[in-house]
Amino acid sequence: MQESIERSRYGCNLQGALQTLTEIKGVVPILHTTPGCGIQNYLAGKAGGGNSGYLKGYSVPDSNVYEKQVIFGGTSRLREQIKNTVKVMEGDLYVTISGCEAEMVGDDIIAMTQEIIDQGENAIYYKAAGFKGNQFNGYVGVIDAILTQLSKTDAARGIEKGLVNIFGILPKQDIYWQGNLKEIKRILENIGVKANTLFGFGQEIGQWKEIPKAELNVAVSKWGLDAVKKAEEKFGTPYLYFPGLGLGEDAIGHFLLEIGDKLGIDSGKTKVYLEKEKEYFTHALEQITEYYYDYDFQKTAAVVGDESTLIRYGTFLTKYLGMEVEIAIITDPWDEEGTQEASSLVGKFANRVYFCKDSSEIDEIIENGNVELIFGSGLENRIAKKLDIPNYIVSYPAYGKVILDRCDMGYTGAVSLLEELSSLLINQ
Amino acid sequence: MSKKIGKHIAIYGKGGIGKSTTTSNISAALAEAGYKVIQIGCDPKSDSTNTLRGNNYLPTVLDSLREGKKIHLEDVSAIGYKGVLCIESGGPVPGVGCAGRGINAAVTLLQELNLFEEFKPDYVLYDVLGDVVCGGFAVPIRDGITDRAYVVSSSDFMAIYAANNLFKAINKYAPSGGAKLGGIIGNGLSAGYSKAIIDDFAARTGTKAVGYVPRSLVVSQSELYGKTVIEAHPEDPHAQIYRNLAKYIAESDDLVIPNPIAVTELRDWAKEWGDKIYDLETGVLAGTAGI
Ligand SMILES: Nc1ncnc2c1ncn2[C@@H]1O[C@H](COP(=O)(O)OP(=O)(O)OP(=O)(O)O)[C@@H](O)[C@H]1O
Ligand code: SF4
Ligand SMILES: [Mg+2]
Repeated sequence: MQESIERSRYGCNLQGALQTLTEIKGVVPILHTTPGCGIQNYLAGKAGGGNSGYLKGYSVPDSNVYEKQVIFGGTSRLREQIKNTVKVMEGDLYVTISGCEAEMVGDDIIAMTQEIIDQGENAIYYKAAGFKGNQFNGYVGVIDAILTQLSKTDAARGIEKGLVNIFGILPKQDIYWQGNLKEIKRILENIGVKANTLFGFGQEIGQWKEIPKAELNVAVSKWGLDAVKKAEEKFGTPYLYFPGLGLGEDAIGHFLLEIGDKLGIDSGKTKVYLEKEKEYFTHALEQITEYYYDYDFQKTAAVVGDESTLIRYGTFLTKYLGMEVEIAIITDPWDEEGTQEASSLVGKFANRVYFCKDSSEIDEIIENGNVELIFGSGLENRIAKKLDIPNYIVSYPAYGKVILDRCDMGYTGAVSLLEELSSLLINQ
Repeated sequence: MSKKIGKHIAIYGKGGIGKSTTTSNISAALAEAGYKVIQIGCDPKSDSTNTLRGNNYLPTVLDSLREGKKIHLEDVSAIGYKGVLCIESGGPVPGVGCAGRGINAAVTLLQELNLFEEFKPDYVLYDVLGDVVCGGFAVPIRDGITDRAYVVSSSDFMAIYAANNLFKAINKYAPSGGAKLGGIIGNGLSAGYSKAIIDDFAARTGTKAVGYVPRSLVVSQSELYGKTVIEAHPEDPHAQIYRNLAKYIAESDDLVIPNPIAVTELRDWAKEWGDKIYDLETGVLAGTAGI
């Protein structure tokens, strides 16, 4: 069956790879694509969430192939692009990425990448034909490429006690990704665990080379699962999976205790720390009680976004704020098996669970849903306006928002959610 | 596309089946009869028009495109036997790039160069490579470039299989203005039952055989001289076969949309023939099947 998708929420595989790689310092992607593939991602990113990575849109090298390269093959154009890139852009790792055209024509980017390696540079390749999936697959795929190709030569030996790699937070796709990684790092530090967050501030290829040294890998969304499984297979590192790492004491308590247990950390100590965080959170919660009753925070809500965001918000809103999640719309790609799992996870707090990527359909569901509040993406602004209800932005694209440090995970995320949400509701 | 000048005919068929030989001889026969003919080889091997121009070197359209210079018709065409204008689309080196897109680009470029307006041909023959493996190779029968296609086939199953694939493409594109089928040209027929197999396949697909070219040594010999049979052995009966074929193709406007056979059915059909041939050879059923 053919269907059209209106106002789609994400780009292609190549764009996923690009927005992932540009958040690792020193990585230089070299695109082998038709003009526009790289810029699309840059422009979409700018409109929908704020930040741009270490390497910004216009400075990403691209072979910009056209019909001539389609017919005769584009490897010599790519070779030229690589040669010049290496000359003018210093990189710790070059990643050649082929888009749709190069993959259809069958350009041999593996051989081209080998030429960079032969010149003494660090390089890997990633075949990112846009038709092979979307942004989420791009994140998964490019991490797989790094794990497979980088560690071939650079596998560090020995295990570093207490080192944990974090996978599953997609740079930019998770609009709070920087803050969230920081929050995970912070809470883990408090129980003596060192988190390797791999993306964002201060994260370079050096951190990626540490991956094999970790004692444990943690996937905090389904998009991190492939990476942790791969690392288990390649380096023998065990892993833990949390489908939607949460907000507030309950979810985080469970997260820390499980990790602690796996790493042999004294659970007594962990509980002491948890107690401290819980006290702080409870204190914050108490401070908004007045508003809570005066402005009737017990709203009926719709949540729209990727599965892990939905789990995070849905659980918190129902448990701590007594809201009713009438509608949950899961927008990240799903397969049959995943659908069932997601349904049951999300069904724990939502009355009705939908899977939908089409913004018009999403509008329709919300319009007929009898809700008083939306937790969605910028694409839901329109329907929110029409229904005259607030839309609290939790998912991509986040039009008109610049998010650098805020987070929506852990304790810090819970407290800032209380802050922001209260401000929104009392201004209604 | 502007009003079509001349009849545009595409010749398809499995690799090595005799497309170029047949097309070149048809071109030669038409030229001999006084028509203005263009033959365009749509094949990266760029050997379609060899026998029309004594095996001389001819830069292909895509060679010129690759160099990126402005292209003139004179650079990419050669006058062959009795004035046939020979053009080779060319293509990428084997194993690289996309030949399908190359053919598409070459044909478009020829149109942009006003080839047909300038040369004013009576007939334009497109010798298209191999099977219709992807959209690119279907270009000559799509987009209104040609209005008729013929398929060269022997009685071998693989050749018929390829013909059937072409029928699928025609069936798909004809309703939206693509080419229709003129018929099947039997080529290289040697066994006694060959003709019957082709006729049967034609009947099942709602088409017909428009000529039967037997296997012949004069073809091979002429090729070695870098000539068509028409040029090298004009008096040979084989030359007459090509002339008759050319006359039919020139005059006939009997075009159909073929009904391709489903793959499994085609296999069953082939097996039936396998049984028949075996019985024939062993003498069980001699004289049946119209042989
Ligand atoms: N009727 C025939 N009798 C004898 N030899 C023939 C006959 N038809 C074709 N051949 C020979 O078969 C060979 C292949 O023919 P030709 O090049 O015309 O095939 P083709 O279909 O154009 O092949 P390709 O798909 O490679 O372009 C040539 O050497 C040609 O001389
Ligand atoms: S889908 Fe293909 S052509 Fe489009 S941006 Fe992605 S890689 Fe480029
Ligand atoms: Mg040929």
